[in-house]
Amino acid sequence: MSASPKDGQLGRLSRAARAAGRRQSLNAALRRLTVLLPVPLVYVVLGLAFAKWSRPSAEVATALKYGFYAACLFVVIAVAVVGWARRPRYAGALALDRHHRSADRVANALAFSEIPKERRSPFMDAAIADALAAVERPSPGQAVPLQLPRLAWASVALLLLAVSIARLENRPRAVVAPVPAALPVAHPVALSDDDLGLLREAALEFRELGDNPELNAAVADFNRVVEDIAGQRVDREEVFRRLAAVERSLGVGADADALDAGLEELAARLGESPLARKTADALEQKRLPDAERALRELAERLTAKDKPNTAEIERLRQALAAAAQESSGRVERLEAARREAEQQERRLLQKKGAEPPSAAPDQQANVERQRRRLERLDRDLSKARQSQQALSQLDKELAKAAQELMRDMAKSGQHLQAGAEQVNRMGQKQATEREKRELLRQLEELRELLRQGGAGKQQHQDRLKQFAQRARGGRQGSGKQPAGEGKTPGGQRGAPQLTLGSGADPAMTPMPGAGSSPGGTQPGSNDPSGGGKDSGSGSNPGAGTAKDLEGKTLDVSAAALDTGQGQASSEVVFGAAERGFTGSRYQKVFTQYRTVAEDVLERDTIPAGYEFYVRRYFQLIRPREAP
Amino acid sequence: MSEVREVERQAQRFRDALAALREEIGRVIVGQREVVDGVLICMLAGSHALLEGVPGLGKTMLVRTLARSLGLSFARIQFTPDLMPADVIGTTVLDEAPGGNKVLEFRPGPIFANIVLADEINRATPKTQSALLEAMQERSVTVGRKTHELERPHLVLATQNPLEMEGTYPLPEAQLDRFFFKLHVPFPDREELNLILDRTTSDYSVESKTVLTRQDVLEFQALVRKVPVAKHVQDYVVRLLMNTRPEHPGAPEGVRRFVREGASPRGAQAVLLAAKIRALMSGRFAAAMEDVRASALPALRHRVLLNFEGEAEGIKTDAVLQEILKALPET
Repeated sequence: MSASPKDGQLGRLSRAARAAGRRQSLNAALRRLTVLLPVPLVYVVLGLAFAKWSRPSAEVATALKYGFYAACLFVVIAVAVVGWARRPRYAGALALDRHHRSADRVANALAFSEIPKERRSPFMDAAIADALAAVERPSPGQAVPLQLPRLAWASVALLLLAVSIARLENRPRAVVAPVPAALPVAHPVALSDDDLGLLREAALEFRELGDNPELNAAVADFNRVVEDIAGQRVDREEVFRRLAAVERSLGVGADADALDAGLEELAARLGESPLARKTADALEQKRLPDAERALRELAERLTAKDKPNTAEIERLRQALAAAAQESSGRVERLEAARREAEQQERRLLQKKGAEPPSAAPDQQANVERQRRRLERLDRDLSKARQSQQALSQLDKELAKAAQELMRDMAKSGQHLQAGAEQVNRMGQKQATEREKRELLRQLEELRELLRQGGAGKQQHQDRLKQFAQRARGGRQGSGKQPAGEGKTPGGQRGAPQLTLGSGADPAMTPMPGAGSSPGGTQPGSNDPSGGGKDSGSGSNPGAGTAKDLEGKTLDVSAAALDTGQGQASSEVVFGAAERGFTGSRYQKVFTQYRTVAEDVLERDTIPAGYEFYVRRYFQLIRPREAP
Repeated sequence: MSEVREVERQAQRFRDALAALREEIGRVIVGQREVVDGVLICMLAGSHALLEGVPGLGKTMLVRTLARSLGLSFARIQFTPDLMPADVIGTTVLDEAPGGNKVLEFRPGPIFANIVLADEINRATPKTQSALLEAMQERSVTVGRKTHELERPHLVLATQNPLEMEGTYPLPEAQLDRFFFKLHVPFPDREELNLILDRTTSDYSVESKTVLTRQDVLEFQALVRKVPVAKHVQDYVVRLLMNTRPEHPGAPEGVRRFVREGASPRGAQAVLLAAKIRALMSGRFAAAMEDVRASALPALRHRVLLNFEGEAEGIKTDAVLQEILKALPET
């Protein structure tokens, strides 16, 4: 059965009615959208204003973003609900009727067309025909025009506002009071570029060292101090205050030495067993990583198939037990010794009171000696207690290992492994402490440098400048030094001159006894008996006078392989004195000399002041880059 | 297809007849187009109308002209307090037969006319009113033991004077419900009044002609009932009726506040039937919602009863109904 023209026309009416219905839905969705759109837009405006004003943290910004998404989602859902809501059945057809003024003809025709033909009355068919005749060209577009709701202006206005706010600059984070221009420092601390370069290098080395945040912060502070000195932005008082703060922040305890002493004692006890000797050697030499490895190897050997023989194990047990007891035993010994010294002191004091006054000086000397001994014992005891505390966990593990050794070797091995772990921790701590101590040494050296720059600062700086220039191989105009020997016109002894060249005064550093330390704090300062002679004076007659840098020095250079036939060290030093502290030869000789000096400084007990001068000397003669 | 053409032909004939009838009435009656249409709708629906208007607006003239134009019998009853039911429905009298025998003979009252004008119906006692209204509803009169059928078509047009309420017996709600329409007869405007004066104070004389027969009327009454109503239109009528009831949740504020009792289902029947007639009168083959809206006021205004507050505040039922229509969505 083919579709009649009437059916086609009816289909057109039906499609037009559906289209009109869809447009009604769209209009409804638009109306809902314009009502709800201000919600996220207001949110955006407020959020943007808040963000511009207070620059919120990332978390708050994320929360704001999610809030915006939620508001948008709410709008989308609400609009979708309206847009997809089921419209009344003949709403589109009625809209067409209204537009075409057809008095419900279309709606009625569509309603009647849904009734089966056989049930339709003639009036219904007539109504359908009437509708088709009345509305020949249904126009859903005109019947239901898409209209922008009047409330849309609010959304547009809010959108413009949001865009405007988004284009605004962020408000500065906080109203910062204008920083007054840096007041010129009345007496800025000045260091030579050479020294500053040295300090900067040191800071760089520290920075590369490790990841200890405490140390890194201290290094950063130290670096700032150096840079402030370089910029002449700080005076002495400020520098010393800041250096003290850096030192305090490092907080190096005195337990490093104590730990070393404790480890030595421990090593001595462990060394009694051949099995633990490797560990003992490493501990004695403070090579804690090696000690850890050796301890682990020992633990593994105890659990391995080819176990040591019983005698060896028994000796190991005794060594471990002795080592475990060592710390506490040492403390006990020291306490006993201290008690004894205390009693002796009391007896001496009683004796001193009972004897006649003629014997008083001898008695007094004895009492003083005893008192010093007591003080030393106190220090040792304190160190021993610190050592005991530091080694307590290791001692426990060793004690347990010793207990288990004869019963369960595997368990004993586990305790030794735990002991190795303790050694590892101590090693890490030791490394950090070492770095801190190195930084402290740098701080102390900086202090000393500053102290030197106290009186006669300008003169000192000039000399350092000249020296640094020459150290890099630069030439000086006349080669004559304005001072360095004899007396100044004022009758005072002149400051030692920083000169290079054999026979001249090589000590740019005011040496002890020179009587001219500008800071007035050097050992030997104002000591007339110690001054007067400059070291190196006339030591090399073949090298010319001290004032003659251009003089008859022996200047030999070798540019071949080191076959042992090249320059002697003294020749290299002479060459350096002429051309400056540059070149690989000089670097080699310098390293050798400094290593020896460092060893001596480590090994021998040298007063801190003297130690500084030795280090300072090597700082000044360190190899430089050629200009 | 031929059935459709037949329907179209009948509809065309209906429209032509109505147009002729309107024209004929218009020759006598000036203006009052809505009242005329309302009366015609009542006639086509086979029901009755209550006309409300001040005296002298041409109500009697309208009814008389309608009767003449349709070639139907006409009777007028002036209702007074002493009017008896027998004066309306007729009485049995003792009469002498040609043979000299005495027989009881029923003398029909004015209610037996095809078109009855019950003038000032609210002046009669409830007893007389009831006699009339029973005849209107049953379309028959029982006197003694004999029931007398009223001839179709039968149309009662009752009038009420809205001003003089003293000494009247307002119709009870149940009886008001039996009127298909309540039509307000408006006062003529200036132009119409001039025309009325011209016609009535001169030698202008016109006799209306019969343009429709009784049979035509009966056919048309059958025809209008064939007009179909789509479900959504019928649902619109139902929702309209529901919204006249104050207890209905969707009823507007005015209904909930001022209406005591909403329209009965008979009101919905009246609205829908009137809508069908209007559709056919407008040249359409199915009732539309605009037909419903046009029929709602005359069909429901006497069926919606105001409460005391509404009465006290002078609320008109027409205002309440218009509020309902305004608030009622088409779908």
